[in-house]
Amino acid sequence: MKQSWARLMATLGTAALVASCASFQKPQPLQDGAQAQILVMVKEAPVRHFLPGGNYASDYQTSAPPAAVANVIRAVNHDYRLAPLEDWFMPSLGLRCYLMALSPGQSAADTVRRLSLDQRVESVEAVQQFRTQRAQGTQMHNDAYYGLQTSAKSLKLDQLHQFATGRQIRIALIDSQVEAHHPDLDQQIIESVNLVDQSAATSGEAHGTEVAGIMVAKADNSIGIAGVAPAARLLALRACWFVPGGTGDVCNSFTLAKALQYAIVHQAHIVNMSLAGPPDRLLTRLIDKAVEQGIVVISAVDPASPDDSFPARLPEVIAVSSMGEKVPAHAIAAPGLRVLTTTPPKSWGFVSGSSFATAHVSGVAALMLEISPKLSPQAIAQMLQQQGQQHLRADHEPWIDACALVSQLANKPCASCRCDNQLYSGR
Amino acid sequence: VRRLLAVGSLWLATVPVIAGAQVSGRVTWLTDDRFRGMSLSDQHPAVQASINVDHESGGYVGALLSLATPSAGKSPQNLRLYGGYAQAIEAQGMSWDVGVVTYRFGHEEEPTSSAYTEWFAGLSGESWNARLYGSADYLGQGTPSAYLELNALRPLTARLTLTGHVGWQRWLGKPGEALPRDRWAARCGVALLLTPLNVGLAVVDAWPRQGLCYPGQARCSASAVLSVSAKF
Repeated sequence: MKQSWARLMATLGTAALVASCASFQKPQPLQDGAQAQILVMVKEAPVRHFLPGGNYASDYQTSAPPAAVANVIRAVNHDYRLAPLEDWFMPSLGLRCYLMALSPGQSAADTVRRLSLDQRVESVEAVQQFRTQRAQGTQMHNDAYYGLQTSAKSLKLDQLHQFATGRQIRIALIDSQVEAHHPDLDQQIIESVNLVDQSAATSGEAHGTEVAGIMVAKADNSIGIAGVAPAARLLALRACWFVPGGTGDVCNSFTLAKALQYAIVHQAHIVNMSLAGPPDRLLTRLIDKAVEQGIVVISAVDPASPDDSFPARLPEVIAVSSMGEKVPAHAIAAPGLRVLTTTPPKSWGFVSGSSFATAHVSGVAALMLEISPKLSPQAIAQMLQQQGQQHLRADHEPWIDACALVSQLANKPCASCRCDNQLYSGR
Repeated sequence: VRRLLAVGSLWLATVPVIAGAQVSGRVTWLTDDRFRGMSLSDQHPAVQASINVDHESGGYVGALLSLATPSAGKSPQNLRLYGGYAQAIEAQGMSWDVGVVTYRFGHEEEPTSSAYTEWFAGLSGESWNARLYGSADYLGQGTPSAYLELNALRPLTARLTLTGHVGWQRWLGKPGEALPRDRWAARCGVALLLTPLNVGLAVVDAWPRQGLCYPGQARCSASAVLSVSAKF
């Protein structure tokens, strides 16, 4: 008996050794060169369930992929000469998403086509790049004070904040790194997560900090500006990064998917995506899931391709253009020209672009949700659109009266805040 | 061992080879095989091997075999066979599961009659799970019993995780032996991920300790359990 016991021990030890040798090394994920990367989705059948011994053994882990999924992806990597860079569990879709690097000379299109026929793989797509929608060549100023915050004046923030300030509302800001210790943003961020790389990013990046300030900058703190929803709180999800010498901050399908998944699991009320890029199947599925769960998704329209901007073109997404630019039929326009906001490091400045118009609408949506928490994303989009059809600006463009919208939700007469033309919808 | 392996093989042989099934396994060496505060290995080191088959429908089956280092001419063993069904709860990042697990205990030289089967229902979140077990014949005592457990973890660093377990067991009738009506079990420890190995260190105990020992064994007390496991 002792001999057979010893043989079993030896066998088990060998199995453990083989398992350890077979595990792959993880190179660092590439942030650029998106052509060389693809996303491979594998169905992660096992949701968390009973496992005997799991409570006393040491591997009560939920972040690592189950061994069964790892086995599948290891075989796929071998067959298609792929190098795994990173993986991310997406429970809302029941998938684990793998970021893969192609071998030199390997065609992304051909690999995607072949993998899409492989039954071990749930879906596959090329990694695509997205860009934040900040107008280039924006003149920056450092001498900030409230009197210069023209968008706040036109939105009549003082009066809007009598009805709501965004209390109890969580906005997931999917963007570049927000400067968490900016004096106008300090304590406005409930969680800051870096989904781009493993580094502990501490200094803020421009775009994320600028968008954050418009939405939630502290009010009545005697410095800087007031956000549209100063009592709302941010989930600052870094999915984009600054590229020196580039044309703005960039993101890709994988980092955006991770951020959307994070926002869904952490039950954000609003997702702000001040960015645009090409259509993406994985992101579409995640946005569908988010909206299905009652999350309001708001995204910027790219003025270079206003009718084709993704994800703004999705019907379930509230699309936002900057006032003065071409507004697609399904979009809303909001202040996006020379908007005063927070900038890193610990400063303020003027910015322009549909990114910032989007931030204004996210702020207004937060006010609406504070007053009526059960409003569905569809209801919010419909109210914004319908408001626009009920009023005409002097130049005959339909517009949305944010103050009227919020005051009506609060069951207060509109006249009490002298409703003005703040946001207007596309035709 | 042969009989337990035969039962386990038979169990897994009933699992049809179906497309969409994912197989995983784990080998664990641990200094003490503790189960609800009770040492199943007479506080001696043990090796566990387990296999789990998940189907994309949510169904799952598996087995765990635990073999303790022989001591005093005895080598405690136990086999756990289980099957269940789990589904995600969308929007919450949670999942629920229900199932059945059967336990077989024994010594090579002295088979015992502690075998029993119990059902369970549980709820799992990102870093916790709670599960209720019920048995009509817990540990072969001929009396119903329930066990409620809560497990949680808290990552301290990327590799280091704090883990904990609290369990409450209650006899729903009078057990055959003089056993306390209620018993609490707890574990607190840390797990270190040294890819591909998981190394864990935990303190395990139960209160009251009356009747806590594995049938026929004399030693029972709090234990610091060191474990090393690898998945495949």
